[in-house]
Amino acid sequence: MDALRAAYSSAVFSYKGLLTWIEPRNYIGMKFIVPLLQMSFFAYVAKNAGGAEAMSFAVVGNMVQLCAVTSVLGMSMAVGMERYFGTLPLLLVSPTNRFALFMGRSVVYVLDGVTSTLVGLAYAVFLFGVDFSQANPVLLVVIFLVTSFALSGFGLLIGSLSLYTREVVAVANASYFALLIVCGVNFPVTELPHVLQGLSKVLPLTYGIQATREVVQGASFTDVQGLIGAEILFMGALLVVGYFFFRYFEQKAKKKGTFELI
Amino acid sequence: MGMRTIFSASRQAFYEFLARPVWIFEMTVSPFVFATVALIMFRDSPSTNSTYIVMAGGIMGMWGSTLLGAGYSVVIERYFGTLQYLFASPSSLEEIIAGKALTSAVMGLWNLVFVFLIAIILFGVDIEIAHPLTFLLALGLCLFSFSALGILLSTLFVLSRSAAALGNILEFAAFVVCGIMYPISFLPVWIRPLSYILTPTWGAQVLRWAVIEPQLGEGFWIGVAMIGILSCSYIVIGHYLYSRIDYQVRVTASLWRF
Repeated sequence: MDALRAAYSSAVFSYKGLLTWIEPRNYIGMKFIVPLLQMSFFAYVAKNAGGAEAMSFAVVGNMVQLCAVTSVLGMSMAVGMERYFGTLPLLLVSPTNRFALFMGRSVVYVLDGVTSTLVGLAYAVFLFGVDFSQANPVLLVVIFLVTSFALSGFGLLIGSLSLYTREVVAVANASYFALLIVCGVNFPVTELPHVLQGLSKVLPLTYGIQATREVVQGASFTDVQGLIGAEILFMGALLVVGYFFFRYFEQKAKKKGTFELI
Repeated sequence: MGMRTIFSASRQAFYEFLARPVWIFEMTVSPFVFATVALIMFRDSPSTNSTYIVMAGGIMGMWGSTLLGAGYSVVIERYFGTLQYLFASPSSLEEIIAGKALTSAVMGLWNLVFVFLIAIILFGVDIEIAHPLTFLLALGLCLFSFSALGILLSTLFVLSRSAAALGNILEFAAFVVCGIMYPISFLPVWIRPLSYILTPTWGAQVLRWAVIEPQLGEGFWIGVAMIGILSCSYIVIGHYLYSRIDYQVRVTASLWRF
């Protein structure tokens, strides 16, 4: 019960914090302008490389990947910002369940991630002319939710590093960009070297993007349930690994006394 | 006085780079990703020159680095509470930013080298440059023009508190609008005038000629002229804006607003 209460208040504070330390105009820029620029860039590169079909492929991939802006960057920064504001030591000496605390916080980032993808969907339809007439909208939203939640697990994994290092922003940015290469955002995963294909198979975003592409082409829940199942499975694995690393780096930072290093 | 300030600021920026080695990682991530994505996407496209694609990734990294130097240096000074002291010092902030932008642009060359190395080692790309000497001269011209644009855009960072979002937007906006990896004709017609007044557009054109074309034609010289004209315009406009800002922030006492 205490854990649930911690998760709930963490989610509420996370929501309030989102528009406190991120000013509304920054938030709007990150929510509407940066996604448009990212989608446009890769869409035009794809068009130059492979024509209209390649462009649609890249647009759908980027549309789904956009939820990583808040799910991965936001979640990792949620931990990183505690260090930045000097509140991390206070948080970690409290008896509150850390898992509940940060998972509660992830709720806001997950929902915000879904809205990013919906913004991307609007761009895909109205600016790039991608045909969604065959798609089941409810199924799409379900996939976006699962993908965003899965990526927040990845964000927690990255964020755990901020317990130990000051350079979590660099790592979070690199991870965000790495998703663009590894998860079949702009080109099929089969184009990757074998080592990277293996990595793509343990990242839930790969399954989220593939499921979205199939739903856009008219697939039903039965057709994509395997992909959604795989996504949930790897999401669970990422959360477990993320939490393990979180505790590991917490112990390590306690021993070294590096919590207040900024 | 001006050159001494620019040199000192440039040296200081270099020391700051050395003090934080993670910059190498930060600076190379995005050009590496863009070049890798593009190389894979263009792999089956026979009409595209791989050397140019690699170089385009490097140019994008150089632009990102320049923006980082010119823009974020203002943000960092503001964060540490030293911006107002720089403003009050006898050296002009504009010259200080110019020095920092120049160092960042030069350090951005590392992006180009890194992307070339990745392309050769990981993708087996044969780097073929049609006019190597012209390429080096064009690269120098790009560095100068990027720095000039960085100075102009840094005025926005002085005035704005939304620096992080602004930096992200400006970095990506140049990638999209300047057609570094695709023809500008792909863009909506109403955006194209913006492309023409940004030097990365012409920088990419000049480098494309130096890398691909067997003979340097009219397009190359037009690009060189446009870079010269636009860079000088940026410096003049930047100088005017800095003088206006200098007056305005003293009247409104808004420099320290964080």
